[in-house]
Amino acid sequence: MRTYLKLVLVFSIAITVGCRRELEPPEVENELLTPILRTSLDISKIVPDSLRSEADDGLISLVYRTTLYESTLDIFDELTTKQFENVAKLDSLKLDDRIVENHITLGQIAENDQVYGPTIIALNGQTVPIPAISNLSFGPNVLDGSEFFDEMTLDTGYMTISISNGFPSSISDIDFSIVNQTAQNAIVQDTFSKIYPNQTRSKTYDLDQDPRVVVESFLEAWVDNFNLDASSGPVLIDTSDRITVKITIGDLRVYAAVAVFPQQNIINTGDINAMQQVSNSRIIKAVAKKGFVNVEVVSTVEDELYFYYNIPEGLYNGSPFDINETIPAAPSSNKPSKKSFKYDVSGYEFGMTGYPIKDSFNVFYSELRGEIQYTGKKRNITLEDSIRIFVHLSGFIPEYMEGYAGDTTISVGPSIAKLSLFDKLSAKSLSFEQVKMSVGISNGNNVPFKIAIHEIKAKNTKTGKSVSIDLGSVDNPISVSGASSIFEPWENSWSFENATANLNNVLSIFPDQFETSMTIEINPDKDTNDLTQFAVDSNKLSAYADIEIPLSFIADELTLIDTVEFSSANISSPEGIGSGTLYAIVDNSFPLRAEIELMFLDAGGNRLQQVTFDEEVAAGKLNNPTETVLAWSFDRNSFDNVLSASHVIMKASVSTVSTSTPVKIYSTMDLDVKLSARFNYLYGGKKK
Amino acid sequence: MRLAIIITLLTAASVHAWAQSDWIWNQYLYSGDTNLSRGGIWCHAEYGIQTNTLSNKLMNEAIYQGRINSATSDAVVDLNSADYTRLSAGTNGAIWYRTARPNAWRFLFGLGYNDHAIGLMKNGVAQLYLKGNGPFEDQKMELGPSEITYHSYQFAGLGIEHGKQNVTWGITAQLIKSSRYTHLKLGESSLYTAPYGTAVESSLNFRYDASASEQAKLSAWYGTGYSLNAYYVYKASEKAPMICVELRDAGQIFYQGVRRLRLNDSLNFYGVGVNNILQLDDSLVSGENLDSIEALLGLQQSHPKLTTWLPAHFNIHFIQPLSEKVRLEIGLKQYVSMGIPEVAVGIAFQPKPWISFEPRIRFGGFTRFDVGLNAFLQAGQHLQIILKSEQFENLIAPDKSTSQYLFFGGQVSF
Repeated sequence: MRTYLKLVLVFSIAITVGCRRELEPPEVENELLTPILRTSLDISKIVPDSLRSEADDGLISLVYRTTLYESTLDIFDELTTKQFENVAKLDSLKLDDRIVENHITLGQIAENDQVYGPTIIALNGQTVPIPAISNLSFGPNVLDGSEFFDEMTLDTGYMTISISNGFPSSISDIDFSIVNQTAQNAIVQDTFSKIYPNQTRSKTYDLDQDPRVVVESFLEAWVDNFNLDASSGPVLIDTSDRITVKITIGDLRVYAAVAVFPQQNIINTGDINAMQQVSNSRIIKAVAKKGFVNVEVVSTVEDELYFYYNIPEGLYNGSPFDINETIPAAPSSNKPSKKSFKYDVSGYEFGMTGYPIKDSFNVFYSELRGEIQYTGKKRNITLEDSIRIFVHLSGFIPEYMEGYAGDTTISVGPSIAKLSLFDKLSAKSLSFEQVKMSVGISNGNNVPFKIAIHEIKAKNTKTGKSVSIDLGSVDNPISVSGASSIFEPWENSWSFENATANLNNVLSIFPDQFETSMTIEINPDKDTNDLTQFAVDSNKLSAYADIEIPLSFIADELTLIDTVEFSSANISSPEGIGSGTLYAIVDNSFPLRAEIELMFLDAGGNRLQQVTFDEEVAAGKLNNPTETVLAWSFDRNSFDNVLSASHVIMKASVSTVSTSTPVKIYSTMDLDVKLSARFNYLYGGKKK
Repeated sequence: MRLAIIITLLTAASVHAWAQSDWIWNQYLYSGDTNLSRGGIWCHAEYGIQTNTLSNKLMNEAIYQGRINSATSDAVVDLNSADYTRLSAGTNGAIWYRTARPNAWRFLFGLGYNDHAIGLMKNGVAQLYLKGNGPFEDQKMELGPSEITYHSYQFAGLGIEHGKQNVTWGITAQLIKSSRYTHLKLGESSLYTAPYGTAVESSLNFRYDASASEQAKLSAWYGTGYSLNAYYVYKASEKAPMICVELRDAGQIFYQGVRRLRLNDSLNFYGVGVNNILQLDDSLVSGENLDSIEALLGLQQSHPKLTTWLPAHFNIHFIQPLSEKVRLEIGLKQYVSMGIPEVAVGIAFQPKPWISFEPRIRFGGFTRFDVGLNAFLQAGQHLQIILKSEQFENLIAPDKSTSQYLFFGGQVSF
């Protein structure tokens, strides 16, 4: 019994737990049939808008323009100016007029005279006759100019000595001198013969002397001798009556000074600077596309220097180019201060006719003004100090000019112009019913040219084949007039007449470039007085070829090849896909039959998988498309090859049905393609 | 949706969960023993797959090989997609203990599990899942109405039984711990594949509910429920037939949250529209895989609470003693909410008291026609072992037959 029970219990546990495994969903071999993509190709997608024109009846033409030559005027190369240097010294420095004065009283004189002095002092306040008193003197009377300067060595100037007589009687035979207090040398020494009571007499002395006059801040005025004349009657004796000596120093031009300098210009100059690298052009106006004014200042002046740089004819929004800068004081005369500035003048319009008289060209006028300002502080400045200012334009490239653009002749070529129209095409044979070609010129500037085209040759660089285009039916050389405005280029074109045969030969080699040789003459009339010309750097002289090919043609194996990048990274769960069939259901209304082939390549360009369909796309008719079902059977290996690919070459070989009657391509024709696939798919399982 | 079909169809489940009443009629059918008042332990395990369309070979590959080969599923291609595939598949097991109290109340205690998928779906669903849409080019595949339900749960049962004279009846209640639940319901739905697959046009109306499934079944407890089984057994006399009537799996399971996907829309796919094939770029190869297409369809997702009914059904067993050694069994089974009646007929032959055999046929319900052979062995005084098999068709012609069944059980009586 117990044995049975044990068996039952073990069995129960086993069936309750052990048998209940978690089953995974099984893998299932499916066959899926799924659309992949659908697309419709009409001529607008095959030929981009830029290469297509449509006639009223819907006939499509290929239109292609290739630029044979294109250039701006070399006048828009960088222009420069020579460096404009201005050196200023202190000979243009000035000091304000200075006046110092002092006086001496009658009492002071009496105190120093042992003979008459006590009497005069005793009679102070009394009205008595004054007797004549000879051989009086006084001095030194110190004149203090230290508020304005410590010392100055004068280049030019004057000194005026004024003596006012405040005594009640006249004075005569007045011998005086002005002496530097420290050096004790006389600056001025002279005599006044007579000065009446309450009269002032003056004498002025030129200080432009050799050697230069040195004036100290403290001067001594000496009256070495004078006579007090007898009064004409009793006069009031007042010992406070005085003689006043006043010295005026003016019109000073300083050689060296330790002085308080007033605000003054020390440089004020204008410069006419000729533009360089302008050949024989005559520029009267230029707008800077970019460029800089470079200013460098070197100063030995031991005072802060302010300078103003101005280009009166350099305007931006009507305002002239005008800058103000400050140069710090030099630490000493041996250590000049230096500072550089660079100003962007992009967008400035520069008049280049001179200033203020505007009668020139290719010149660049600017003004420079240097200034020291009143600071109230004494500075040591000598004539040996200098301020050197260097100014020049750099990187000046105009974007617009007016004037005469110069007269040069340029030989061009052979100039190579790439032709991409046939990049992806080749054919066993291809013949168009009609091919039109013309050469056009566009001149965006008001500058006349003459262009002589020597040769236009079409070349296929891959095959080496080349065909020259017959230029016989085109005017040559071509006279090119100037544009009427910068927004309206002068344009004209010249068609090649009856050129289909020649041009079919050209197209038959599927050229990938044109090689053009020509001579371009600028201003062929050399009218240098014609300053009405203008040019913009973005406006060019272009020579181009226009090709128009109505799509009416006979083609045999016209092959279109294109290589595009391909990535299978985004194909989800590709491991489930096995063998299958790829379908392309094509509804074709183009009158062309086509074989389609895909070639999948690895990153190294090695062929991995070729996809060819079991039949070609049947030619259709306008408004009557033909359906073709293309099929490509693949196995897992083929599919793996596709998954490994990094590029795919798409190749379509197109032929017209007839080899003698051209077919026309109309805008309403299209190619509807539906891509679908039937494939075995292993679904589910643990990998899911 | 394919994933939902996979989960629902091909996770193991059972034909139906056995219960206390089976103990009674099996005992009488194979041993002739009418003593129902003894105490004892009954246990069993069974698995079965019953379907009217899917071959045994296909199911064997799905379950045992984990891969359904294309050739095996070829047969479904010829089905009319508008007809129905019936499927009931799974496994279950239980152990019940019964107290011994003659002519009085007896108590029942049981433990068990049940993994069971049951479905009634348009053939188009099976075709799409098993074959893909490739073989159905230029055809409209009917996908609905279809419904597939999968339950996986464990239970603990408690019941009472009363036997007196000719009548025995009982009722058991099971507390259910649900470890998996999946339900897919499709309304009117169809899928059309254009010639060469240039278009796939579908009209889909479906709801898919699924419980979580991260934890192992034994430890997972995603929903809680109950079920009730009730039975009535009548045998008037020794020579009178035994009639056993039973209501089974009447109950509900409650889920706090299930993942629900809904869709009711027409979905047409004509391939990626490429404006200019000559400007090929990555967009042409940035395809979506099949699962992520679900995201593109605009499925509405939600996580609602859910109450789901168990697939309740009636069983009737009629056992007529024909002689001392021979007894006729007629069984009838009908689900409350779906399907057609299933009928089983067998004749048990007991040449010796310790052994009996029963050839048996079954038809209707979820299957077509099945043949089986059951065996009974009395091992000693207390142990009875029963083996039931409907594997003959599976063994002989798996690609032609559609159902299989295996049962192993027995009782220890005290």
